Amino acid sequence: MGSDVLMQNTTMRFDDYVAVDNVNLHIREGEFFSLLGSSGCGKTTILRMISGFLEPSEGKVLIGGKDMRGIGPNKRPTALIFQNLALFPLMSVEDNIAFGLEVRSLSRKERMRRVHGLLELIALPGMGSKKVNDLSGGQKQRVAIARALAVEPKVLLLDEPLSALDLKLRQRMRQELRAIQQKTGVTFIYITHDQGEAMAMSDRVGVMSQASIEQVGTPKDIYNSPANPFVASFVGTNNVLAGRVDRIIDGFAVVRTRFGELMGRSKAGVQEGDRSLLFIRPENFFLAKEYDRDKSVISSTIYRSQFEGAFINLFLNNTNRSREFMVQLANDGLGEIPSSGSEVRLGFRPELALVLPEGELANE
Amino acid sequence: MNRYFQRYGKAMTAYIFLTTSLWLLGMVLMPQLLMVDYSFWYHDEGVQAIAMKEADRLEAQLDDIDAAITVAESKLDSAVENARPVIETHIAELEAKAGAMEPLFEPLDEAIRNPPRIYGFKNYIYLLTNTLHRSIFVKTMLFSLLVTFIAFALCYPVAYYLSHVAKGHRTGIIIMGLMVPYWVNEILRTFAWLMILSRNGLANSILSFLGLTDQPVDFLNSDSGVVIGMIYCYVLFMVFPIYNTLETLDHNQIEAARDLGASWIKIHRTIAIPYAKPGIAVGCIMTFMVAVGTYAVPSILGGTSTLWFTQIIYSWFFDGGNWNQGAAYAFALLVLCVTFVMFMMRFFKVSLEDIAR
Amino acid sequence: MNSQRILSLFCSMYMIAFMAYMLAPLAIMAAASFNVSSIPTISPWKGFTMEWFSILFRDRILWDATLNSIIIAVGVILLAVPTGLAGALLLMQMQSKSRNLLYAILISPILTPGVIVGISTLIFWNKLGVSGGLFLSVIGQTSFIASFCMLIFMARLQRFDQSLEEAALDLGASQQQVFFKVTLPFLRPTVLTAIGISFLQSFENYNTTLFVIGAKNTMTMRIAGMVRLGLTPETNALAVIFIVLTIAAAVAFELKRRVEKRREAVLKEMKKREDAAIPLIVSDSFPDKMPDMAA
Repeated sequence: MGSDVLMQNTTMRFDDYVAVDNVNLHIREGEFFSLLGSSGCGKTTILRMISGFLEPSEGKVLIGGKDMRGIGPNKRPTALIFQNLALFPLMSVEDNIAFGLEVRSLSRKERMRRVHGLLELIALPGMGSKKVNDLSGGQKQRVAIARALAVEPKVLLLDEPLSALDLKLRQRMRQELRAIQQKTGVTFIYITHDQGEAMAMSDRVGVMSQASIEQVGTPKDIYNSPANPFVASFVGTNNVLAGRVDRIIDGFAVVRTRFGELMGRSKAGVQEGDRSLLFIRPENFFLAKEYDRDKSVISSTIYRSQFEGAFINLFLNNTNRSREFMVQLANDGLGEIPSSGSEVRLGFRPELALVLPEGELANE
Repeated sequence: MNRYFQRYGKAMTAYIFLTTSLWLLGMVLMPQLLMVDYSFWYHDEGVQAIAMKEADRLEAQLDDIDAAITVAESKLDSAVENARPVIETHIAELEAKAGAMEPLFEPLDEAIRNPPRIYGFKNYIYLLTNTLHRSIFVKTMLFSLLVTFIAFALCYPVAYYLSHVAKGHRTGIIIMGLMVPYWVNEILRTFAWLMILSRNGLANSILSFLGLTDQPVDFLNSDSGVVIGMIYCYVLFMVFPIYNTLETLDHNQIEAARDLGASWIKIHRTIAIPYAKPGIAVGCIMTFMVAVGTYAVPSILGGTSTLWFTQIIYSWFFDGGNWNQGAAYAFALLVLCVTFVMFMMRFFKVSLEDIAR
Repeated sequence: MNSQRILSLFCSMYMIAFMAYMLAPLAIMAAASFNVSSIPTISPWKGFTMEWFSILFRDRILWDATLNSIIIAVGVILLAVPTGLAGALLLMQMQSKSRNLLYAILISPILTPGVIVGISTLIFWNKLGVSGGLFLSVIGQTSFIASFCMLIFMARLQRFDQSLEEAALDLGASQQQVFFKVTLPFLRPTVLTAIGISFLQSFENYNTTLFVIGAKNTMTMRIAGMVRLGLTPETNALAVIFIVLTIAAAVAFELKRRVEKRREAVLKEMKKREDAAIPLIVSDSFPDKMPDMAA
């Protein structure tokens, strides 16, 4: 039996509220897949449908090609790591890890053998007899992973398990989770609202907006070629300029914006004369020396300048109050730092700018 | 229902529903409803009286017949041989007559033992028109309110002291000290006051020592004794609920208010008491309820002239033998309690969940 | 700050007076049990004696009544604790408006005077042909003690993290296993509390029992009888035993609370230090193979 997960036209409704709307998703065997979205977008609902705590209102969930309808969470080849870890507080570390084996009536000897192997794996050998409440946050994290792996799941589901940790530990755990996934070859489905986490660990990422999936792709795809304005504005920081497409030449669109005509890669669906959005990331700007008006140079007044050491952030005068227009320049240590109130000309390479048909943006 | 299956499985779900419904129906709802039902009917005493009269009349007839039989039998012994059959026939006739009367008793007995029920408000009207019982009902209510109020006045400072003034171990020790009278048997607590309040008890010794009285005060045959005992017995029903809520009040709020120059009266009126509302409501409800429903304290500390309403209810059941009347009285008491609970919940704007902590 | 000081002095004096008010009657009652005087008093002190205790220990009626009390209490525990638990589990899983109604009905026995609980039980079971006695006392007391148990369980269940049950289910346990391996162990201290409370409530109950005990006797009923009829210091001797037991329980309770508090503080400190000290498990420090997990 394979361990890929397939969601076919899956919808989940709670009374009138649609939490997941007609999602189609294929998660491949042995991959590290992240579902990225802000809170309340339905990603936890998807996880609970895969693990069996919820039955979809419509559509199917298949694991390894088998329809999971009517199969309870205790009968599915999945294991879930809860946001709060849900370690059994009254049991020792050992008993926690062995729980899934005990309810499967494995012999004590066999249980202990596996528990020892897992304790090795999570680098906590000899901690088996400790009480769970005596562990630190990081140690609990590892015990939760070991407990889930003990039942040899085909698919491991992780519901923002790192959110309770402090920043430093969180970054270390990213590496460790990825390492464990590669060692075990188990399919990981990881839920997070933290882009950095999703990017750093995943083979592929699915970006969710309200109740539906906007784009599925490798972290690089998602970042560099977002499929629509939502993903473009949600992933990473992006400046957005609205305007009308003047003309399209060789896959590049020229858009009339409030900074004049600007050029960027044109994505499918962009038509001459349509309203569209031009996206350009802060780090793709450089200080323009030329004086000619170019299709990839904007000039504006800086209203705030922020020195961050390795970078200098410039915020440009903006009519749109809800979104800042930010430019990030590398600090080479030589050039002059543009100050607030000064006029500046900034250029970018048109290949790095992206023109998309008008659409919904993510909330800042 | 499905939720229960999913969470607890079939056997556990069956246990949960079965047990709870047995409790709900068999121990709470049905007994209460039957009590209310009892309170609304009474045995038709008119029918009972007629049946008794009729039965007496038949009884008398039967006695006459028996007497006649006895006379005839005595004649039989001395009678001559050929007169015997005549007498024997006569006896047989009489016996047959008596036998024929036997079935007439059955419906009468039934009517006497179990007279027909009449539904109506008679039992309640009796409570309203019997001046003694009515005044005892009112007295019970007023004195219970008084006990509740005094208990609150005594306890609020204690609860506040425990939650915000006393520190660390001292709180623990005081609570420990309060636990002792709280868990000692109610009867014994009352008994302690019986000793103190008796004619030559401690209270009278102190009073005469201070020269306040020249004759022993008879606490035990007056309502004052009952009220004093009741306050002592039920004061702790007030302390713990208020303490529990006040304890969760952030002490910084009080500090801040004091810092801003609020007087201590103002601190209590605007911060502590409003915050403690749920606790005060619970304390008042519990205290009122145990006071109004107590049987122990008035029966030990009171005399015949200081009857409590519960004592009248008791006598309807076990001395008067009129359960219907007793049920009506009990229901009246229940209505009083429910009214008080509802009033307190409205007044303090608390819900049932708060009451249960 | 002079007024502050007066206020705090006043506070302390009030507390001392209140504690004296609460404890002095008990002390007087206890002291009288050692007085030779044949009526319970301390004011003419006629000398020290243990006589009343030996009379107490020879009081057959009282100890028979105590046995009845214990039988009733055990019956109440066996009925009320599982019933209260069932009610709590039922209510915790309900969400609708009917929950509030059911909740109100199930806690109503607590808010009903004990005499009324007794009366309704008596009437109901009399109709079924059962008259007063030990059985009816168990039933009558259970109807409201189960409410107490339910509240105790609900308070605990509110702090129960439901994801623990889900985690167990997810790891392959059946619903039964989840309940007995996860939920019930969590509730275990609460079960003990419920048993303790039920026992005390049942043992000292008077108002309800009065109506349903029939011709039998319980310890509390017997004490009431002793107090009302033949007043002797034997009652005081019994009170001494009660007070000593209660004090012992209260002290034990307080000590346990202190120990737990200290333990918690130590643990908190320990955990702070540990995160920094865990070894890494990045790829190169990994065991070469996954531990052999084939079943």
